[in-house]
This record gives sequence, structure tokens and C-alpha cells, in this order.
Amino acid sequence: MDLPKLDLSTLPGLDTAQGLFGSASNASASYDDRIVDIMVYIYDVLPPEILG
Amino acid sequence: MHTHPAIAALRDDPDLQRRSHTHLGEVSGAWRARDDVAPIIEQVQLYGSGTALSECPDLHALVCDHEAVCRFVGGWQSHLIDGLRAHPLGEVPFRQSSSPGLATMQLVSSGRATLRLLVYEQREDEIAPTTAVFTSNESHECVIAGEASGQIYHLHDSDYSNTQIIAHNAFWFPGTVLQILDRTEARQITKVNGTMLLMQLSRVPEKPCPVREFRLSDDRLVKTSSGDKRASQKVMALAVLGAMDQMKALDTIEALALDQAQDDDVRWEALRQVLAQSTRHGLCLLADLAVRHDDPLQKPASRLQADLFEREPDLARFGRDIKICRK
Repeated sequence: MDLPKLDLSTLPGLDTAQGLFGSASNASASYDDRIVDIMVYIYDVLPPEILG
Repeated sequence: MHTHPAIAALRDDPDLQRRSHTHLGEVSGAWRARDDVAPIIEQVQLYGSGTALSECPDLHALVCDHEAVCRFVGGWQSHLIDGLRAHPLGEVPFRQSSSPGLATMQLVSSGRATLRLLVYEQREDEIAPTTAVFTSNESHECVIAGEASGQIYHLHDSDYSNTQIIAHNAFWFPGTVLQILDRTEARQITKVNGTMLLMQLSRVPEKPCPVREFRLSDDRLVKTSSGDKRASQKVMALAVLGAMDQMKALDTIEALALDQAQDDDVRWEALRQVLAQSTRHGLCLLADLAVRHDDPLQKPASRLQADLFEREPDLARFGRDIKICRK
């Protein structure tokens, strides 16, 4: 049976879905220091062994 | 476009790039091997794997003893400055970030712990904060140089029914020590005089709680975001795999959706991506999840299954043929 293709945008998220890490809004502060972290989303540009 | 001759020379000379890269790597290695640095690295490893800070005396001193932290940062600077003198265009081999008024440099990181320098600079466009953000991270800070002011927040009655945020004015100056130990405390720097340099040691809990942002005008929760960096990385990676139409990754993505040890948002994103890539695989996965009564995704999976069957009669017909489908 050929099944119709589902469009990702029509598939809902969870009711309890949270924003991604670090997405707490920072527009309301002088300094964006409320979550200080460096996040590599996909891959490291530098090999990890030379980084502290 | 004008390119500085030194940059142009470096761009055209892979050998020079390699030499500069190697040299700064050696500078970092020499710094890490110092008698006063090697114990700190060991203690960051211990602290990052769950040891109490009080059992890491040298590391503890860096966030409570002004003289000790100045000595430590002075040593780091002298190595780096020598390295950059030899290779002014070399890349400093420490992770760093910058945003308006704030730069960070990660000195040592291991497990759940990170030791970093934060540099705050005075901003012309000072913005009064309208929200406070509470994370479950533990943080210990000591001001190395400079001055700033801001607020320290305490969150009371965090069961969401009657939340109250108490704000106190706070001042930072050389030697100021601040600890944030749980998710009911937060600090916000609002005004910096000139530049302030701060040493920060932070540790993410084993199971990070969601990050909560409250509006200061009425203490209402306005946003919840993941406190788990790895989980968010996986959500992003799933979206990339989906956009690349990676059918080869389908089995791995399906396994992720079924793994109850994973974060719920990651598992649900995996399910969405499978459904979008292969309706047949996705419906089998959905059928599987919808009958797992001990699974937090059972209810949302049943609901989505019912919605899809209502939307598309072909899907309902296919769905009736599968009870539990495991590949």
C-alpha cells in the first residue's frame, strides 16, 4: 500500500516540550551571562584534545 | 576588500598555519604541565565527577582566595602572551565566546565541571532586567579585577502555586566571592564600571533540571527550557539528519525514540523525524509506543496516532493491520 508522505511541520511537539538549552530569552538583560556555556551543536571545529 | 598582508601571507602558507597551530598547542601544553596548574586540572576532573569542592583545596582557592586566583591567571596570561608574541595571528587553543559586553574563556573543563574566565565590559545601553533565570547549576565565583553592581535573586515556594522572588542589590569588587548552590538562587549583573574580570567554576548536576525564567513584575514563570545540553544537541542533530533525508540513519533514530533512558523531547523529536521520513516506519514506531503503558510517551503517541488516522483514511487502514510492529 502506498502511504501518503507526512509533512514534519504538521506533526505536533509534546505538550511538555521545553525550549532548547540556552534559549531562555536574554533580551531583557544588559549581559547575556545567565547561562554561560559554549555549545557545539553539530561538530567541533577544533579537535577536542587540544582544548582545555 | 583590503586584507592585511600578514593575514594574506598566513592564508597562503599552510606550513605557517601548521607551525602557528602547533606552537600555540605547545604553549597550552606547557601551561597545563606547570606545577601550579597540573593539580588544578586534576581537581577539576575530581570535582567534575562529583567530588565535593572542599576536597579540592587548590581549586577551591581559585574561587575564594583573591591572591591565589590572581597568581593563577597571571601565569596563564604570561604563557599565552609569549605564544601570541611569536604568532600574533595564532588561534588561542581555549574555547571562547563573546556577546555584547561579555567575553568568556574556558580554561579547564572535565566531566560536569568547567573553570572559566568571564570579562564584563561597561555598556552604553544598560537594560534593566525584566526577568530572572534560575538554573540547577552550581557556581562559585571570585572577582579578580574591576567592579560591578546588580541583583541576587532568591526564589521562594518553587511549587509554581505561590512563587515569590526576593531581590537584593549586590556589588562586586576585587575579592568578592559568590556561590550559587541550587536552582532557587540566581544573580544578575546589570552595571559594570569599566571592565570586570571574574573567575567562575561551575558544575552541571548529574540530572540537570529545566531552566526556569520568571517575570520580575509579577513573579510568573514565562519560559522553561532544557537544562540538558546533550539532550538539546541530540534534538538539533535529529533535525539535521531529517533535513538531509538520511534514510540510512532511520534504524538509529528509531532506537533513540524507543530508549526510555533518553530525554522525552529527544525521543519525541526522533519519532517525528521517522514519521516524516518514512510513513510506514513511523506508524510502526507509533503503534509500538502507543501500547507501552509504562512509557511517558504512551499517551501523546496514542493521541498522535488517533489524529493521523482521522486525518488520512489510508493511514487508518494501514494502522489496523499493525498491532505491535517491531523490526
